[in-house]
Amino acid sequence: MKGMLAPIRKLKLTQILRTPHAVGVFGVYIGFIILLIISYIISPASRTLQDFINLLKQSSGLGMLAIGQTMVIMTGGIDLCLGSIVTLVHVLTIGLMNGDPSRILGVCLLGLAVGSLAGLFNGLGITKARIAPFVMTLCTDFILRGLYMIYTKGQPKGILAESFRNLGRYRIFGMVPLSVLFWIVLSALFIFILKKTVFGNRVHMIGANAVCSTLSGVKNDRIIIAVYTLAGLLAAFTSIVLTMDMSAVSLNLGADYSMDSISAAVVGGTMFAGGIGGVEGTVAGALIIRLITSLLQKANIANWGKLLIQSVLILSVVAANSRKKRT
Amino acid sequence: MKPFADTIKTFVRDLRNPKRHSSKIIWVLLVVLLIPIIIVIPEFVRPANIANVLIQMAPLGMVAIGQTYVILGGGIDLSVGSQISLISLIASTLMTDSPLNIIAVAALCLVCGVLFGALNGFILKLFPMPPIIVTLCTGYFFQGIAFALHKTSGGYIPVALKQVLTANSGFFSVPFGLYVLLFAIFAYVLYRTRFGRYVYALGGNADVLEKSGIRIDRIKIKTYMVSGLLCAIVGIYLAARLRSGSARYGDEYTLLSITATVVGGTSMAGGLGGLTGTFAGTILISMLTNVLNNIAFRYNLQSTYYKDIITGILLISAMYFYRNRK
Amino acid sequence: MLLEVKDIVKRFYGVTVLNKVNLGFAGGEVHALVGENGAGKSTLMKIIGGIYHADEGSVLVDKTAVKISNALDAAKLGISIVHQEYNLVPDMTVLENVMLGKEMTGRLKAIDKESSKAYVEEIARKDGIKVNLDKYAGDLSSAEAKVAEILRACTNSMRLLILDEPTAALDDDDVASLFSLIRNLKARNIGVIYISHRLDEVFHICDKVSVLKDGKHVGTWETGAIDRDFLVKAMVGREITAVFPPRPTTKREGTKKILCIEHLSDASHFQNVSLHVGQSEILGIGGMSGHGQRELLRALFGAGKITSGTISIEGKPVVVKHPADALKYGMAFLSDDRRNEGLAQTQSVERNIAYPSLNRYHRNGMVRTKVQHALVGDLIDRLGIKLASERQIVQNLSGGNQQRVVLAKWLPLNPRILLLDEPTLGVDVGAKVEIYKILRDLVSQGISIIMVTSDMLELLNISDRIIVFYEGSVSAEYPGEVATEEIIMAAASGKPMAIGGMV
Repeated sequence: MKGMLAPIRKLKLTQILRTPHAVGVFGVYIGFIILLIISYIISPASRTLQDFINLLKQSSGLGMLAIGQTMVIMTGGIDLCLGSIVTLVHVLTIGLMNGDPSRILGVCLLGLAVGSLAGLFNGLGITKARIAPFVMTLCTDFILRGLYMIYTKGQPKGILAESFRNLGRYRIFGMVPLSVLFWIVLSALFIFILKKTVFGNRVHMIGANAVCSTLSGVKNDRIIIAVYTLAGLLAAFTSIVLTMDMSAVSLNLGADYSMDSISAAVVGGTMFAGGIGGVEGTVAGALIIRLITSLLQKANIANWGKLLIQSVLILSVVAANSRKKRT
Repeated sequence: MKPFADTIKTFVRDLRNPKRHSSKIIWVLLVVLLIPIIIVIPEFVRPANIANVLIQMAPLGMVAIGQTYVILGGGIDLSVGSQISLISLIASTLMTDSPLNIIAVAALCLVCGVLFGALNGFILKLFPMPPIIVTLCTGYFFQGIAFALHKTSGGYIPVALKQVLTANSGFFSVPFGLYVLLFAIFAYVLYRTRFGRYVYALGGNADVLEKSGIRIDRIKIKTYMVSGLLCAIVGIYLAARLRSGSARYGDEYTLLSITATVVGGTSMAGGLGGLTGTFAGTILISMLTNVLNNIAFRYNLQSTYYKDIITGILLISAMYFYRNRK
Repeated sequence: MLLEVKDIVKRFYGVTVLNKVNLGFAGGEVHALVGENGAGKSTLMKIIGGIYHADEGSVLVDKTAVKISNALDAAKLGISIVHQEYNLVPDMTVLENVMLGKEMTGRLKAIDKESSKAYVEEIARKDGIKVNLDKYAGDLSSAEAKVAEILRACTNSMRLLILDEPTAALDDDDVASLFSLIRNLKARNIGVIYISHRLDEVFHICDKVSVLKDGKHVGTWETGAIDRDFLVKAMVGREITAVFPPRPTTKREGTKKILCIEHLSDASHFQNVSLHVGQSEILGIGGMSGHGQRELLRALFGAGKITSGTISIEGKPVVVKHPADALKYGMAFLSDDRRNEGLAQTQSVERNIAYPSLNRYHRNGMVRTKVQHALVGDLIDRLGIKLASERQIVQNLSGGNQQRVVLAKWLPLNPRILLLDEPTLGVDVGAKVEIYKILRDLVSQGISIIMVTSDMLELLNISDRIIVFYEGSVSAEYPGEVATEEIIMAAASGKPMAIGGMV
């Protein structure tokens, strides 16, 4: 049998572009460009390269965090505690570092461990205790919030080591911040992982049909635990990168990140039904969310306008997808 | 002696493998927890403190009634917290001292609450989306409107309303009385009327209900409307108690109401459980909160931080305990 | 005519399921509707019941066209359906289930349980139906559940009762009481549409029989005027010998046993089952649905929990706790629920086919795309799967093609034992012929097959050896060549006959 292989049916580019997900991703980038043009029309002052790099920098944190959220949603779950991981790791990093440069590495590793542990806890609850993902992660969110409030007693303290802050100030070629570089590298890495690896294939199949995956002899639990742990790890990494760039400690750092990351993933074409989506769309999703936020900030209605726009945005994207599926 | 032993045996078996609709375990848990509590904190059983617990449990209890309806029907309402907040702001923004105005605004709030619930239900009817997503989004939407009305807590609620809604003498208090009344009404509706049957059937097997000629969309929308109405009542009550409205007043009630419902034995999948269990779940949470406040006061700690953690752990443990039931 | 359907057309996912069907049903008449799996019987009944809507055509009651847009409309017209699938709310009692949607209420709109109970008990007594009204529906056996559903239909003021495969899970006594109920209804001038696979029942209880094949109406006859062979030919549309490939003539006596199970039990579905399958053998497992054969197959594959007993493969005892273990021992499993369990509908054909064997050709966790392409392309050709491209989404393939994709998933693993659950459910005759050919082909390469099926013709004509299940245990075993429908049915009712010294 092996000797006589059939000719490979190669898919033409036009056929690839016609798959629903590809159309969706393409649409998101078009949407981003249109939105960018609108913002340039509204405020001509922002038509500079520096301003665009600023947008990239603002989006980078959300972009990295949303990679984890994208994978979680692709397995058919949702992670509502990423924001709390960001805040917890943030207050821990600053509080424990307390200006001592020799502690930088240790504190960062501890932060990553804390994030991964939170994710692992979610993964175990969802697989071994069979708790619905949103309940499990909502509970973890509350637990983590309690933890960082107890740790800080409501008044976070601590300062960053100067050398750590210098990392945040560093610009590659005098222009591009490190956070943007991290974002690009991580996105590329996870696009590759989801598309070309055994792990990525399993994430897709578990999301599309978990029973089918089990009956194909795959231990879904391991993959799901890995996905939530990775999401926690990425959230912790995001938190550390964001912390580099902060002059003061804040208990609100992570507040919006759970919702924002869901928005970025969903706007980027990842579907709650599971199995469909990818980081390539989430990149544009994060850019769109941050661009909207900055527009709202200019209009001075950021705090409530963002809630309204995001909720309507998610609902309409999901509603449009659900309509498509029904016919 | 033997029949007695058998009774205990079946009782224990029921506890370990709860039967359908059984909420025995939560009552046992309540009693078991009460013993060490009384030993460690004897003040807990002082009448004044008990009365206090009853007042504290009223708002959570009311929200949990609505949440139980929604969860029994196979849904979930993550927007209850935001609904409460928004109602509290609507009330505090519009109220003046005139009695007519108070009544009109209160009525308006109730209508708004029902409409918020109806909105959730209608979106679910129009688009086949998971209820978590829909109510999570509408929750953010309601909170957005609330923030637009007032960035911080504010508005005005007449003293008279506060006096009426928080009046109490000894064991009897208006909030607890109101809760008992609402509980009686909604328990009656759930256990004794057609609508109640249909809520169970909706969560148990919606297909069968539809084939029996019932418009399942209507039942579903109504469960969310019940939840909205109760949120509105709680919103008015909280606004009156604190004499202001805020976009954050309701925040804690989302997870707490789900916890009270699930700890009380109602299945997240729907169709299984009931309000009596939720009642016990509400007592459990209020009892723990009260004890926590007591301990926190002794050791000069912030009880809310610990409350978040305990709520989370409680809900996870309850889900874990009931994992094999369905 | 009580009810007529005119030129009914119905399509799903672009596939025409019913094509211009015309049928008439009269009151006081038991009218059988027969046809192979996927012929469109259930779809037609669901259109009459208001659950599906016809794309074209009309439904007439008393010669006037009616619009039946939901179950309530159907009930108002006096049409009651007892569906094939389970249709009760598990956490409500039988009484509550029976009265769902028509609860009696008293003071303060409270549900009046006592009068409801009296009312239902009266009907049950009159029609001779025995069921415990206070039990929870989820605790009923499948036979009791079916009885409860029939009771629910009887509480409607009906003129036409549709029974979709009512006897699939019933044993002889239950069937007898169902038949006396049907005669009762007939005497009250109520029309009955009776859908069944069991042709002896059709000749026993029905006045007329209509045959559907591939969504078309083949014909309607008085049952007295035709015989069984005529009916089978009308259903299959060709001679049986043209559908089923011939059994190999070589004797398999003394071939080695590949898989042996001894005294296998699970918590509730099957007890103390011992059986074996030899190399290059197709072992067919028959019996009424719900008697544990489906669960046994799943437990063998690690998708169900075994409480006691042993499994051994080629003489070595093995422990299978997860499908991953089963894979390791060379087993493969085709689920009866292809749409929900066999395939990930939203994913590409390539990803579905490559999935179970991903572990075999990766490099440090990365998929070797070229190897995968070649492998998948080869399988598509070998099994004759018709598609535009491997990247095509599975959803849009026909039932027969989907089943071939499921088979293709397993072949790269070179399985020794194939576990098949209803391998040709919802597949048209043409595709069936090819699937049977593929199975024979695989067997000739040394693969062993255990096949659970409710399709009697398939069981009789494909199996080398037949085992019949009754109430979770093996009731009888026969060589495939000598078994007949009558013998199988007797064994499936727990009263096996002895033939040629074999039981």
